[in-house]
Amino acid sequence: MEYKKIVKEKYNVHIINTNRFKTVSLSVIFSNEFNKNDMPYLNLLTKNLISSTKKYKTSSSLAILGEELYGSSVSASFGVNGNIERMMLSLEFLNPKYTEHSMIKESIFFLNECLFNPNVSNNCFDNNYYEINKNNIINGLKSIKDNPYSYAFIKYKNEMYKGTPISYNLYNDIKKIETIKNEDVYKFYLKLIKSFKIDIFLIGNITNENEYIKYLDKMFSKNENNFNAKLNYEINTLNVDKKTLKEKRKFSQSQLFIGYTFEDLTDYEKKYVLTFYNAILGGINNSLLFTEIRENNSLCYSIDSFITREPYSLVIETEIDKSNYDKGVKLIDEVIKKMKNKKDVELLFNTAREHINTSLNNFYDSIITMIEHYYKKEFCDTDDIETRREKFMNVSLEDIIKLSKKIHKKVTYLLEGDMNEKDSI
Amino acid sequence: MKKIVFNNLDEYVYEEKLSNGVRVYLYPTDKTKNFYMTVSVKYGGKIKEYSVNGKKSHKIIPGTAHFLEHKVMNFTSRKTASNKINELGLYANAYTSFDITNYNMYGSKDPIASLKLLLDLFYNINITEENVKSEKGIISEEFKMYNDNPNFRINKQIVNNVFKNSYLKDILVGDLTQINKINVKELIKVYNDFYTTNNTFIIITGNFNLEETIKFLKDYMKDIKSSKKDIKIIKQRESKEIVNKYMEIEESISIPRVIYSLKIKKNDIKISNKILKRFYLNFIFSSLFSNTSDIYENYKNKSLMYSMSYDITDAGSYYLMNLKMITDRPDELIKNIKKDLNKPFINKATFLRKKKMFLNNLILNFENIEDVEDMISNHIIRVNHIINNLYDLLKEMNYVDMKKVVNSINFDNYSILKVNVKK
Repeated sequence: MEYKKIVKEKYNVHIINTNRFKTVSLSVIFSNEFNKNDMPYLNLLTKNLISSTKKYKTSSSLAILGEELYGSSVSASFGVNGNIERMMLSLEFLNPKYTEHSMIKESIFFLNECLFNPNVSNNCFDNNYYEINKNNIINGLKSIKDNPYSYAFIKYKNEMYKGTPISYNLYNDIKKIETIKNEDVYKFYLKLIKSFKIDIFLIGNITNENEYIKYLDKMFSKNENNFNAKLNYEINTLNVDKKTLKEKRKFSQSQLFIGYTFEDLTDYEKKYVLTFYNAILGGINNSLLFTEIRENNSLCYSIDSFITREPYSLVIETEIDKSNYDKGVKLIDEVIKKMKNKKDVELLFNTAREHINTSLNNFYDSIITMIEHYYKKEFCDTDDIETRREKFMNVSLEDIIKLSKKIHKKVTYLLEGDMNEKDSI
Repeated sequence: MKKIVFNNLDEYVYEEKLSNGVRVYLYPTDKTKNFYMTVSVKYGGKIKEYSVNGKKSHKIIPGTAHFLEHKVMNFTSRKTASNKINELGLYANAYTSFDITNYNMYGSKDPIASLKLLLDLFYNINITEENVKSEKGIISEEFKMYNDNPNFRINKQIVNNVFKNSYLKDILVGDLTQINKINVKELIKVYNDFYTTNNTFIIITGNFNLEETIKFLKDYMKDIKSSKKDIKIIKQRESKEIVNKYMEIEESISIPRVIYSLKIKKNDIKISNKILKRFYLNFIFSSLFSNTSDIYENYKNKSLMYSMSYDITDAGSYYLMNLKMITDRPDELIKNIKKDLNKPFINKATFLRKKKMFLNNLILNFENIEDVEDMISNHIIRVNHIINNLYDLLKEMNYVDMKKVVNSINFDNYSILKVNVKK
């Protein structure tokens, strides 16, 4: 695998040349500082850009184009990383060695159509598709409450990460989406392409780099982009009070989320030790949580933990019966205590190390992981994969025990399932 | 060892039949640093009743296949295995479908030791009254987790409306009563009857040494006696007729749904090759319902539906095709779908385009080692051998045959489920 960055006037091109994939992936990412008011616009924009274009005025004609190009596809997504909001438009097509050489130009044309030739008239997106997309988004958001996990996670995040970008969810903003006008989304689109930072990621077995660059130059030649700022990725430490919240809904199981913060994490702990800690606690097979809560006490089918970054926190999630809530929380507290005990942590230390080693290999197997890695490098100091592997392998038991003393329980959120067995199937 | 080349796809798989009857499929590649290995048994939730060596038939409690999977892959009572998995840093998992039970490991360190561990777990089960009792609690929580999902409940209703006797009507994990009934004797009987060498296959994909692996397997299997039982599966007869042509239910959803289900008798489709038959069905329903279709575009534009998706399930002698739509105008939608599926037509341009699309699918079957494993497993389940001429089959497909398949499908044999929002 070879990585190369080409800095152009209006955009950067990151080329990852690898023979790992049978496809070629071309992703354009627009980034700017997080502004919660932009989120509904980003959502609407991603949907409208891939619904229809000037030349392909219906969704089906656009989809038919993709099939004609041997299954090429353009997808759009948006999200938040740290203090940065972004929109990504991604093209994926079969490596032309399996199809025809002309597929390179034609597939990039497909991407160009979606990005720079939207189906717009009178400074508005096609109104029929705009209304369809808006209703779909609203309905999708309204149906979140039917999914206990999704609903509970949003509620937990509202409390735990209040005031930070990752607490933001469109579910809390349905009314705003309902009032957004088509012409304002188009204005936002113009602002995005002209003033957001642009990074392009080209990944695949690229034997003719110059040809791709030529098409990209042509694609972006008419776009006047004036981005010229430094984006700050990092979020300050989380400030949240300790609290327990409960809510009832008609489900069989209860969803439990517990959030923890850490005080004064060093850079090394953030990048390396925290991952180790999480693996042993609840990230691997036979983790301490899995063994204690599921295997030893049969309180759940699944339990795990994960880390959030920017802001840094640890989350434990599980589904349990409401009658086991008190016992479950007590056992979880005991497991957190065990993490301070060298003897308990030592048992899984090597396992965690091997799992992390395997996970790092996944970098080479995943296009999105590669994009995320090099994208993040645009904003902050990140070691390359093999350096990270070396540093992970040097994490010691003492490092983990030292970190375990910095953990503080903050938010416990229980979505209590209130359904009787007779209500179930 | 046989090398099976996939025509025109520049890929190959090795096949070996071991002395005790276990078959092995190997896909070595250095494009990844990891490996993925599975041991599968051709026994899953679809077997409801069977007899051994002509003796009296035995009925299986629904959920047994899944329960057994939990016991085979249980580490709590097998500390040595658990420690070994930890040492090797393996991701160990298992799943049960109606067709098979699959035990798998994913890792990067020491493939031979990992394979030994997987086989040791598979061939040395430990089922006791105590661990069965404790597993019931875990599986009951698993059932509740599925049951909280309205899609799970809706899918159950669909199957009950379409089929009178199909195994699809059973819940793979069992319901709470069934889970509670499962016992040690039942689990051991089913293990002994179905986890036999002739019923087992191993698939290994990813970064491993081919010769060393085959040598290890041959040595390991010397101690595993060949076992084969004369098992007769008692299949329930299923008639062509739909059970409920139309039903309305209420569910905890935000927007109403309509599911149009088609029951297609396999033998009605006069294409002898099973794989080609399925290809044609995929072509047909993709042409009719995917986002390239007129139906999809018309319904979207007229706001008859917010979203639409379809799936095709193998159900013994039948296929079940479900078209699932989310809509605020269910009655109007139902009227339209009935009209549009009365003698549907697919043009030649669409057919030729779908061929390009499916070529993409064929090539991408080899993109990830888990996908390769899944593809091989599907081939073994469906036709008991690897289908290496997929490219040729795709080329062979023609518009005339596709029209014949369309004409042989009875589009009147449908069931409609209207799901209203629970007040």
